[in-house]
Amino acid sequence: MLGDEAIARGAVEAGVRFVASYPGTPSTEITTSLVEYAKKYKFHVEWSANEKVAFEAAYGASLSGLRALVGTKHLGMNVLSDSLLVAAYGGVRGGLVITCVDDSHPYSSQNAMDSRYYCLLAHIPCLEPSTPNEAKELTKIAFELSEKFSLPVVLRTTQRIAHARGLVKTEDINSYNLSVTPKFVKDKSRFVLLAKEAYERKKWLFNQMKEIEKELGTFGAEVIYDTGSKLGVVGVGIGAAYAKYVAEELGIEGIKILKLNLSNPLPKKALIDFAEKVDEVLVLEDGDPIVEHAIRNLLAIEDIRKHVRGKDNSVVSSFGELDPDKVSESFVLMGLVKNNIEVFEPRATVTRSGGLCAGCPHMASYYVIKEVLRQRGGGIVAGDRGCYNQGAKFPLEALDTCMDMGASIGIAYGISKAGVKEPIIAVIGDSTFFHAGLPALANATYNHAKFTITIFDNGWTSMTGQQPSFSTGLTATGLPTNRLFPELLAKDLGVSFVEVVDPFDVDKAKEILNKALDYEGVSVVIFRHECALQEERRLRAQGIKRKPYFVDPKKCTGCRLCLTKTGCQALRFSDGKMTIDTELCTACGLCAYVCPFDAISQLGESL
Amino acid sequence: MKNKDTKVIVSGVGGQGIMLLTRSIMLAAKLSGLRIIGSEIHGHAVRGGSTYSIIVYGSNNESPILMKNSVDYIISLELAEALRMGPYLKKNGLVISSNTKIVPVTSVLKNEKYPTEEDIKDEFNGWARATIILDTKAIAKKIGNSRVTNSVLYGVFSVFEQDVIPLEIFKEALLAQVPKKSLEENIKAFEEGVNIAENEVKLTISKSC
Repeated sequence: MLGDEAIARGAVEAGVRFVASYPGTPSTEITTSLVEYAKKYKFHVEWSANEKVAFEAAYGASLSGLRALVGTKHLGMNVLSDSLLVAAYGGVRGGLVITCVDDSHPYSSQNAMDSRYYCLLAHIPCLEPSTPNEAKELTKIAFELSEKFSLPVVLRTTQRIAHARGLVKTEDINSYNLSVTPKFVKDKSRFVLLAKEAYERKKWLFNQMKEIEKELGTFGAEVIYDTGSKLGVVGVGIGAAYAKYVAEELGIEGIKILKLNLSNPLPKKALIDFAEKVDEVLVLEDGDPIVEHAIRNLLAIEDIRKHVRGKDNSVVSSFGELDPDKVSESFVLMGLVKNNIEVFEPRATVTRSGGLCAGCPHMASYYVIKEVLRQRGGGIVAGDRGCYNQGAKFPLEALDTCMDMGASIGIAYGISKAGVKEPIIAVIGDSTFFHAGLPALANATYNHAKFTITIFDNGWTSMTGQQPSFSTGLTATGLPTNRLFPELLAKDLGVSFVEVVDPFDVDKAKEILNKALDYEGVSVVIFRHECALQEERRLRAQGIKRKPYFVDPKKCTGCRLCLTKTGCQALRFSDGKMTIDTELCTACGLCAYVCPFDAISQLGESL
Repeated sequence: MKNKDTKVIVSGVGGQGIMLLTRSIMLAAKLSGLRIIGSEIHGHAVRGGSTYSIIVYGSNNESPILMKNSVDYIISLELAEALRMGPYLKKNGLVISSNTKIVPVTSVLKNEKYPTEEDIKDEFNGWARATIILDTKAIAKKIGNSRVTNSVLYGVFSVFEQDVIPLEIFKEALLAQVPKKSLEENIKAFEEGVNIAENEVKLTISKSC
């Protein structure tokens, strides 16, 4: 079972009744897996507009007595933090667990922040598994803990646990919670938080954390390797798995490894006992040195004079994810093993970063934007988070900014309001538009700006694996629902210039974009064409195979313009001529449109 | 302390079917009663990007990722990707790769040199026990289904691991993973891989050792 699937399994075994999430790699599979369970066990699972909305929905369900879960990646923690930091004061009723996966390297995110700060900030418990099996176990414990102490609990993993596959021992599914009748019991002293109530509730919150610490005792601390006492390694979550693996692989003597699965509140007594038994302490954690700081602080308070090594004193590398090689380097720095590992170093590696899929409608949208801006003498393109940020890569290199969710509209607005006179275009996908674009759009029309928003509406949340978005017309579990149209919302939010066009209709799309850029005010152009992968799946299910395009080698001059302008992955180049991979070609025809020599046409057309 | 286990990296390009091959190997190990742990790096595997997975079986190791110089096998679905994972291969490890080339846009437009089969063999020469490169596309074409290339590599791999996992179990795991409509062709591809490994490849290795 995948780590993410193990978390889902744990939630179902714990009797989860309400799940609200927003997709985000590497956490998406927690919820996609719960979607499958929900079909069988009839509980609610949704893709919410964003993580804040998801958290509030789950909180409402919890206050109604149901066990609820929110699945998110680290960036979503920022979005839901506004609610979380207040909800902790009110407390929960049904167990409420936030399963957060940090992309600690990062591999598929715009930063590598450590979500555990939010557990310190909110004064709520944080559990950290070191294997997929523990991920399942700790999810169940998180629900028990949450319900017993009326606090939201965070289960924090990193991408390596989320996407690790290991054996998971499954248990029975808790059915008691399935029969709970939802009931909202009023308690204004808890759930109507004005300043006076908040002052009182903070006392309650601090007291709850003390009670949890007492109740848990030495839970979450276990010595898993013991060959001596020169060094005591505290491995937090996956850090423990790495430490044990490297120690065994290199046969390291003279150390103890303590596996820590609870980073807030810390099992203080267990940590003090452990520190007293060893000469020095080394902390291995994937993320910022949070536990490292806490242990240093703890030992100082207890007047225990032991060195605590880690990221602060450069014994562990601070950047990129923690991994076995970094752990091994730390052991070298601590003098436990000699650095004589010989490694094969390849001389010639190929740069390969991937990009938009063959036939992706975003290729056409970018082609339109780039051509229009080229003809107008340049411009600024503010991008956003989603598949379409692949357009930032070579050869398209179409984006000038790509920051956080919804930032395309906010930043483009700011640039325009600052007085920059160049054409300014925001690029945002449909799902991101519903997630964080709406307030930014309202702000832009209310405050009178002049720029163009292009909404790349492919009908799905594609980057994370084609989950339904608000513009799909399907719920998370595949039931039909209202489809929301960005053009109607844009009009309601005060945009007078709103047009919808298929980007593969290149000439028309160019004409509309030019008009939009001429417009004195905020203009919105919706490039609407279904995600190529979804379209292919749908057609294949209907038994339709579109005729791929081919290159006439007699006409092809090898100029590679088709590739430079589209970046299409179905295009190949060998012996000075382009060819098309017929397995990948979706017959979108963009390369044929681009080719100045008329060398590309659909199979069967010119035969 | 250190137990004898098998560590495998499967590498390739996003969309080539790394997950199916990975799951087949994991299932074969599981069916043989071995402990398994591994890692699926599909998070950042956008279409056409480099991607790999890790499989460890037969040990108490709980780490889903590995140190450099530790892997017994690199199975690569794409030629140049075999090299990228090279630093993880331990001395005398085995490289099993398809000769399939997926030349990235960057290489085409920036005129980067793309390695040939000979380049790959030269690089691994002296480090790897052997570098087995197969024309999997041609083999799959002969079988009549261009999508069964990975099962050929799986067959080759299974021959080298048959002391730990019986060939029959490798076959059973494959049957459980591949789509029903291409069961037969996948088994043919697997058996072709087994034949190649038993007849030709072992010869090459004994010569090169």
